[in-house]
Amino acid sequence: MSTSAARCWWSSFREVGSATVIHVDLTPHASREASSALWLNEEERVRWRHYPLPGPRRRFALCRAALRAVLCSRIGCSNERLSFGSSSYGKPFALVDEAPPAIRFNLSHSGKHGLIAFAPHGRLGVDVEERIARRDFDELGEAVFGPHEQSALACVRGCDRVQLFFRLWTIKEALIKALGMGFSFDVSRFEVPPVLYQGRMSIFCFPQLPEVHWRVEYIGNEEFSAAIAHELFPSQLGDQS
Amino acid sequence: MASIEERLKQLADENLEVDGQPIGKLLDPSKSLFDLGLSSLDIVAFGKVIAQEFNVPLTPEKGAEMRNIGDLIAYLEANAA
Ligand SMILES: CC(C)(COP(=O)(O)OP(=O)(O)OC[C@H]1O[C@@H](n2cnc3c(N)ncnc32)[C@H](O)[C@@H]1OP(=O)(O)O)[C@@H](O)C(=O)NCCC(=O)NCCS
Repeated sequence: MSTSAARCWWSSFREVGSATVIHVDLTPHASREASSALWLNEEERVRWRHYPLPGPRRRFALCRAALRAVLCSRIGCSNERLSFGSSSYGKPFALVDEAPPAIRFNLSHSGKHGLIAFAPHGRLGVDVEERIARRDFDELGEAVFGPHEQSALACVRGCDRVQLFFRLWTIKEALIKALGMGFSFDVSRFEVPPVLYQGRMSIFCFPQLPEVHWRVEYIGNEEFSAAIAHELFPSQLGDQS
Repeated sequence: MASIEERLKQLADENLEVDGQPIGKLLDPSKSLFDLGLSSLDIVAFGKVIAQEFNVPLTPEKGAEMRNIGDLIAYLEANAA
């Protein structure tokens, strides 16, 4: 597994609280894709072959290989000793010799961009979306946003509307990915407070789960929208900036 | 009358694409919509189109219970008006 900087397709993106976010370049690249496939274990290769289209196959392999490389270097283990399990809702977690290491991660991919977030502890969720103006924003908004979020969207037009839609969406998705339940959790039953979508960082609690605090931050740039949610322990609560 | 699977394929061709390609012919019952490379946003949007076309309730939470397109077809066969 060669991970020299010149050949890497991933690079440091941001430090967010106690989490680190890595950007993964998912543009088509034959030799990177060939290297990635070699790093996957048998189970991952079965999954890789199961994707019928080249784009999703590439995104899975390039992200999973980058995840393997970064986890191996942080944990200090060989690629062969690393495998992945998943929760009943599909959220993957790392295993080294079948035991969970002291590192948590989550990843997301969209178009040419992947993001991987790592932290020593606490549940993590990350979401990235390339911004594409869609004709169905209104119908989608009704399905996934609450009344205040829909009103905020109704007040903006054009590019600002696209920006706000993806800001709200990536924040929501980072939160449900941190929770780990995917869409089994009704996303329209919680709302992103304005302080969060208007600014960058805030502490959030689900109304259904008020005792758990999440550090949530919008981390998008001109190329994509993105957000990260990270579970805080009570001792960290006074320490957020 | 076209089967539910054929109607789904046609709806997919009319409403979805991945990297610029229509995906109706790839709607294999053993695969999930995520396997075809759709994002959760695409899937929520497609769920709304399906709910309207088949006149069934289909929330994102209901969709999350389905492991693959075969489960979706079975749900529509049992519930479509
Ligand atoms: C988690 C989920 C919301 C992400 O969807 P998405 O926005 O399209 O995809 P993203 O690129 O942001 O994230 C995908 C990554 O999230 C991770 N992931 C998968 N399930 C997850 C979960 N329940 N919670 C958190 N992360 C999850 C995986 O690492 C996955 O990437 P990989 O498969 O390449 O390893 C979606 O996969 C989900 O709801 N899954 C639950 C199962 C489900 O709904 N099935 C329907 C079948 S038709």
